[in-house]
Amino acid sequence: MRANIRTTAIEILKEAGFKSPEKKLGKVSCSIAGIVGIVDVNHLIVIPAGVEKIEVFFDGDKKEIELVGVNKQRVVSDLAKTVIEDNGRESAEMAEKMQLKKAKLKNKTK
Amino acid sequence: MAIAFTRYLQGGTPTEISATDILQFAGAGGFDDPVFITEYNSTTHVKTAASADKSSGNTPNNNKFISQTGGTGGDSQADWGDGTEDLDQILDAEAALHINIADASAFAVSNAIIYSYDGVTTTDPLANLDVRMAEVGDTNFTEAEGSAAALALTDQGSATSHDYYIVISKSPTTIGLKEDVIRMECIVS
Repeated sequence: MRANIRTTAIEILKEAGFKSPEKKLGKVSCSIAGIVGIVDVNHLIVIPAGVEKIEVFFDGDKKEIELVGVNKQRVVSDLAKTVIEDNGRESAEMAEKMQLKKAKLKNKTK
Repeated sequence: MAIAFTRYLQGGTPTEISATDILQFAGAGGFDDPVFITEYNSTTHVKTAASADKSSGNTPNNNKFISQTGGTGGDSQADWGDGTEDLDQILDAEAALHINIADASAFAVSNAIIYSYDGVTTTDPLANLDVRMAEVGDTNFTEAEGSAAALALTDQGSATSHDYYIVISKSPTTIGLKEDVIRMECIVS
């Protein structure tokens, strides 16, 4: 894993060497690179450029990931892309509702 | 901890947006050119309190909203200078707004949000202004008007410097100057 990446909690836990973390995450939380209280496997996290090592605390254990270099352009991991697409659908629905609300308000004030 | 927030309008050369500057969203005619109703900005500038074009000569970026779901697989579309493209194709350097948060000691950033409001009450959007924002890498814009509709930004792990690249585009729905405030909130720890 290289620095300057937008990824998910589950990918980081697996990279750290935790076995089947998805079975326990949610029942117990984890801490990744100083972000505490993570309970969702799909929790999005950016590992900024300049970071050389990440500390991961999970299920009573601490592991470290040594990062191998840095991405020049922030990379979005494949799993993060799926999460972002799902979030995007929600954003699109909210935007549509907002536009409808504005249209109704406009018609009311005419 | 003396955490510093620095904001830039990116471009050929970044223009720092200081506390008294305005980030101006303008029409195709450039600085101070109005945006037509229901159209989105064609140019973006930094305007000083003395009304000067601070970004002049820096070839500032512009992000123009094209569609909310018209792209591949329902992606949003935008134009950042190369014509209409899927939003998720934009690169960090092509976003208009760059926010850097830095300190000598490493810290994490969590629960970050960014939104537009009327400058008085954070829950209240500015009337008659459509504001679309996205973090680079997002597939869709968020209509981030008022704190309840904020764009949620990705948590960032511990580091001395954190960068957020924001795609931002605005459109007036009525005639007249629109002055909103863009606010970012986050927890640093």
